[in-house]
Amino acid sequence: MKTKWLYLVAAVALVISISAVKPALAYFTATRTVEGTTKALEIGDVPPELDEDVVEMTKMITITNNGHYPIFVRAMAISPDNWQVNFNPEDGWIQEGDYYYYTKPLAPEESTATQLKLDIVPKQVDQEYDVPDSFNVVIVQEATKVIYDDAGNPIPDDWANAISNSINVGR
Amino acid sequence: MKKFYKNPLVLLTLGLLVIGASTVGATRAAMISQSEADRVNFKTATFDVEITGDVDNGQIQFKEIDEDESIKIGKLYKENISVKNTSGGNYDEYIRVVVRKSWKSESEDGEYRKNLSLTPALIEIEVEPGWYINDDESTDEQTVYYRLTPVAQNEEVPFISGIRVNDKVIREVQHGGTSTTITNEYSYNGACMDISIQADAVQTNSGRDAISAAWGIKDSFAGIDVSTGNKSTVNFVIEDE
Repeated sequence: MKTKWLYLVAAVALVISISAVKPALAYFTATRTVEGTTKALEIGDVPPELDEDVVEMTKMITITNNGHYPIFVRAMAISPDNWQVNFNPEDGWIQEGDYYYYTKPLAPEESTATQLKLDIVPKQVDQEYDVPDSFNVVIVQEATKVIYDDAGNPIPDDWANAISNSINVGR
Repeated sequence: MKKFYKNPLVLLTLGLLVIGASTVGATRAAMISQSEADRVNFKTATFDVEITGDVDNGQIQFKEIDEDESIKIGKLYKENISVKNTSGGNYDEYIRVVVRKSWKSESEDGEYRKNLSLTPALIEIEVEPGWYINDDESTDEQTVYYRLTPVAQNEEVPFISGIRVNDKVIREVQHGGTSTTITNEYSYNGACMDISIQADAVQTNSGRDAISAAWGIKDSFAGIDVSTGNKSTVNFVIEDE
């Protein structure tokens, strides 16, 4: 009698399991993936090299970009009290305020095509003073990275992010 | 005698004899001719999508970036990537593309690994008009673009037109160094851009159900038009309705 009951239950279970399975539906899908990595950004700071020649009372300065990224450069001269520095106009350099700007960006390994010429002349002063044997005129040089527009043209320099380097030179 | 016939074995044998006798009958054959059935092959057409353009063997080629010695910040480098419906049969499909961007930099062991401290939002991808960004599914790293109209068989749809690095990478600087020297540490220096593009396609038959089942979008979503930047509620153009 017990087994009859078992058979009934098994039969019911079988019927339910067969009828409960629903047909499966799938939609056509497709997928494809591609990947790529560019080369690395090279925006580390490398202070540009400052070279200068002194001929009589004129300094001629050349700046070289030793880094991996194009930069704009500018320079400033600091002279002692009784002396002043006059800008001798040269192609590619302009003076704005205290700074002398090189108008074109310098590519990596490139130097300024023309030299910055600065004449050092005594100032007109009332009192007499002893002219020292030698004195320093300090040239401070700054560079900022070039940012480009969509077409790849450099946009005018923004000097809020300057990288500084200075050189101490005698007469 | 009676006992003999009542024997079950005898009855069985007699019964078998009777049946055996009745099955034997005359056979007849009719003239028929039949040719061999031709085999008919059924094949369902393939359903596929491909990514074409500056792609070679599953790898994205950055031709214009490779021409420059160093990546110029702010310059829009041309990069042409399209998606194509390469289905075998006459299947139209709805296509979406998932773009994942990240920065990879060299870690201590010399391997290039994803750098999570650099934000992928500074990698800017220019997408052709006609695509819509699903804002709800997109983050800084992953952006999902949908095409609202079905793409016909063999139709190639332009997707990416360029890549640019935002100039904020130059502004993120840490000042370090000694008391006499200040050095600038650029967080993005030495980092590479890594881009992954995944194209998904779904059938247009029962388009509404297919899109809902495959991508989880019912009817409409909040989409940003890539050409104008305007956000609005957009719908798929369902073919057979």
